[in-house]
Amino acid sequence: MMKDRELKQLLQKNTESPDHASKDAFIRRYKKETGSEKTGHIKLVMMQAGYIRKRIWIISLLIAATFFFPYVESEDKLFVIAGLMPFMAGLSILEVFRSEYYGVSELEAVTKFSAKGVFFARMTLISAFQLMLTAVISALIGINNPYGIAVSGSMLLIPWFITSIISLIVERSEFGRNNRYSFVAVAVCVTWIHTTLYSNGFFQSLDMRYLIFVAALLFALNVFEVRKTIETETLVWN
Amino acid sequence: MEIEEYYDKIYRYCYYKVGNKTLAEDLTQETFLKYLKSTCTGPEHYLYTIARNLCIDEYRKVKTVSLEEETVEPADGGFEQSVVDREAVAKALGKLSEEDRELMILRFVNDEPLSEICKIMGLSRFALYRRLNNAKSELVKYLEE
Repeated sequence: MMKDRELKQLLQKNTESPDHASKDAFIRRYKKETGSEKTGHIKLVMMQAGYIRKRIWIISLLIAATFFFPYVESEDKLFVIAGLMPFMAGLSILEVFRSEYYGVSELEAVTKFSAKGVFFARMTLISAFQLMLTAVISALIGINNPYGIAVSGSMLLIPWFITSIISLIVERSEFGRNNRYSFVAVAVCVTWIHTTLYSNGFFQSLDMRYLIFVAALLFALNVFEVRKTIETETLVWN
Repeated sequence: MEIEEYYDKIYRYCYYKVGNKTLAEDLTQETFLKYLKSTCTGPEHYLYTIARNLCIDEYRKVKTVSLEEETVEPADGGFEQSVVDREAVAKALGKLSEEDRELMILRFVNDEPLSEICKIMGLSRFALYRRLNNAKSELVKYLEE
């Protein structure tokens, strides 16, 4: 009498299996349908959080931690941190375009998530984290200086937005795509302009309340550039 | 749900019910599409139920082809023994009653747990053991003929 195990092996080895080509084609189609239906934006953002390198979080934290650095004069803290903000923005751009620099964006684009979705998720995550840090620093600085929290926040955000906008424009150009660290040049330029203006007493002579409107305008411009970049990315893959 | 794994199982289940490769493939894909549209949470059990209902609908439409009439293709490389085995298995399964064949496929080919088979076929555990033993004895007898 044949044992159960032998019978199982005989049957499993000699029963029909589906046509592989048609099976693969169906599974790809099925996964695409289920993937887009069942993976929401929040889940996608959470998934992307794991792919962002730890050094990005750490460097952002270190820049924010400059506030606690004892050698910086308390009245200069706002301008020193504002001078470092372009590097924070540049880092986020570098991380968002990391897959493109390493030549795996094509691979990413054929997964169940669109290149557009992944780009947006990464951008949202890093920006949200850095803006949260900026909010905390603005509050800490704003309490102790005459400008207040809103102006301090705008002062920090303006260099961040300018770097982000210019980096996105540069990234869309041929030069930016071929030069991974082009964002460093942008950050250095923005920091240099900021430092020069500060040392020439430009900010001190300015009505600081206008900075809130400038920050709001730059925020709108940043949103516009992000949208434009996402659209360009989608066009590249289609 | 691992669709790669279930696809083969559902395909085999449909194939040994309708006896036609193309039809089995269509029914398998339809099963998954119906499952996708539904909101059921019990994947395996429900997939078999959908497949079973689709096969029943198909019986009503067309006359099924006997398993023995289908061309037998060797699994890997066309070894003589493999062809003989496949033919013998197809013939033996073809001689079983439809319910026994379904049982054999679920238990010995798809490796489903007994609890799942009870749910799929609507049988008690005792009845399943009895039918499974009878079906197995018959299949072995046909294979040894």
